[in-house]
Amino acid sequence: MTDRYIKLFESEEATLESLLPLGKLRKQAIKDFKSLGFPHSKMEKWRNFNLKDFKNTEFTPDIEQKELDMGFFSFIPEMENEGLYILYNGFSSFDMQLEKYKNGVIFGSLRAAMGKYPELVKKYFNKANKQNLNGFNALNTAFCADGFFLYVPENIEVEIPYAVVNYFQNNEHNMVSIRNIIAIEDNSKISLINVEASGKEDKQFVNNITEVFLGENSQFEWDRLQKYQGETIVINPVFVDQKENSNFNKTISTLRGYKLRNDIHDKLSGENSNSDINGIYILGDDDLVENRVFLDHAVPNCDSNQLFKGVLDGKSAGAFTGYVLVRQDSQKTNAFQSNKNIIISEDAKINTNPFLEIYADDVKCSHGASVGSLDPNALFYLRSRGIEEKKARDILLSAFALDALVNMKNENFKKLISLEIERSLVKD
Amino acid sequence: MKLLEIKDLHVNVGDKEIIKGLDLEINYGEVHAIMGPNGTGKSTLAAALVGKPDYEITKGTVIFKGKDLTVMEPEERALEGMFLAFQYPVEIPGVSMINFMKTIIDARRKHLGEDPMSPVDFLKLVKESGKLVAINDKMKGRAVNEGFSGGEKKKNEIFQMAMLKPELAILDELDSGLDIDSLKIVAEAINKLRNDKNAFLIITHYQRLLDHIIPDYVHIMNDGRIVKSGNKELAKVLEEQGYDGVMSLN
Repeated sequence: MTDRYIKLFESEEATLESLLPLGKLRKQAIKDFKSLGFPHSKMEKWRNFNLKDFKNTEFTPDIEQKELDMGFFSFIPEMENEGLYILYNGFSSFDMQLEKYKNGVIFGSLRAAMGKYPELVKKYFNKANKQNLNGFNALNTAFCADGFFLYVPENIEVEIPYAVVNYFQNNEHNMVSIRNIIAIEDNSKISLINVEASGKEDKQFVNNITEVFLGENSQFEWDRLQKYQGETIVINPVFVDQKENSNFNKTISTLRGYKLRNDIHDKLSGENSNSDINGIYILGDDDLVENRVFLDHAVPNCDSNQLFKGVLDGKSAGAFTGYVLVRQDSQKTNAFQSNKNIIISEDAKINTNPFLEIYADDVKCSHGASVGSLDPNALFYLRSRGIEEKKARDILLSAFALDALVNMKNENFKKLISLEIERSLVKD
Repeated sequence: MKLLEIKDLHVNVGDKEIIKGLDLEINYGEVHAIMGPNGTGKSTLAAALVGKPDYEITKGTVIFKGKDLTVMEPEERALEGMFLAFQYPVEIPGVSMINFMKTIIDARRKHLGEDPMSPVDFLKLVKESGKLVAINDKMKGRAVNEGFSGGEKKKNEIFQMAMLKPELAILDELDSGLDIDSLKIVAEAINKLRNDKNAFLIITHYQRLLDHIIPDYVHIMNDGRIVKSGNKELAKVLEEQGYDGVMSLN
């Protein structure tokens, strides 16, 4: 099967290079792919993520930019955004959209940014994802042609969030390889909201890598809402590198996902940096959603927190793997990790693996996981006040899930996500 | 019409029979107290009346406002005007007090065929009811019972009762977890809420609560039955002479 993708690469390489010139990087990536091959279920990191479906389908990249279908508008949050950038099937929806704002922020198409600011893009491209950890990562580097680029120069504080909408549609057996770069320079602050959605009828493969670079004293909040319909297979690796005193605050809200994997690698490489990564997943039917967080405490005096909460119905399967590595010199580390789940059907399942690996001796770390059903005492308490059982369940499930959004500061988007979550939990 | 009429009530928890033939009548405007040793079924009676799952009524009748209570869901009983102040109020993380109050007030109003309460009226009601039990604004801003002290939880029960204005309020061991000052505040609130359109069933271990809320009737429970009924003096006898002392009364 790898041969097929290598052949595809050979026939598309020239086109890809004309869109997003990467030269050696691209060639190296396909070599890496050749030696790595696709992950498989015998690999520890992939044992929860069934790839049979992927392997049984012949995905082909569609490198032509398509006319934007206006259906995506229903997914755009109603709010004022500083900048809104729309990726349709992985490509800039409006021709080569890229803006440089008055404050110096550059935001829009990666491909356009590569054309206009090649030195700036190359400074970051593949610098956080340098290893090509697995075949999918390598395949992304080999096939990527566009994505988003967000650059914030030094000493800029942006209050109103920027927004990215990723919409995938009319994409039969399409392989979408998206590459995004977020670079926040020293002493700057920004937030990004991000809606990802797909149409109902499609079977497609989305491989969406983001590299995040946080400079000294920078603050970045990134809130993602994932609402994939249809048979969309999604792999979302995120590579973060944090310098001194930086603050990373990420939430991922997954409302359904046919086969979806969020893979976050966060390296705390500067002291006194802080990372909060929280997530919610509301699953039903045959959904398979896996969240993986690798938190690398590479230096002392850093804090990290992860809280992931899941509600699983139908025959859905969830997986959480949190891996916190505290290296030998990383004294005074505070690292906390928690994964809590409520299972509301007999056939749903969750595989949770919180995991700490600690080599320093002066640290505060904890991890925990729980899997259970709704608290019958809480349910009865609400009913005893006159709330009907169904509504009492909805209230308790929403409250349980929304707890993971406690750090979100984008209030409008938080309201929208809360509503979406409440709606998705309501059973008829 | 009687507010509550219990005849020959038998209640099982699991396979074990806890209430073994209990009779009780409560009229509008009355305050009844049920006392008795531990494990005699006092709290089981409260739980069975509000319809807690796993408390199975195996025999007998319970008529509430002329309707058969035993076939009603817990929420229907609440909407009809029954209220339990829990001995151990449950923490509901993530559900704010204010949202919770609005939900339960509007559920009750809907049941009574009324429109949802206007935000202005609602906030006024919250303020008045909160004042009654000296609940501070900070508590109102938190999640239901989450991180509340034992006393705050009990006050919160009475706060909800003041908001909902039930016809029959069952107070299960209200005084446990309350210091003497809070006890006075809560008792005073209940005395203010007492009128001829409602009634109270107070389940308590100790006489001290009844110094502040004077009952019309006191019932002594033992082994799943009411074994003695009388006026408030009965509570004093129980306190001073114990259960055996009560039973030796004629």
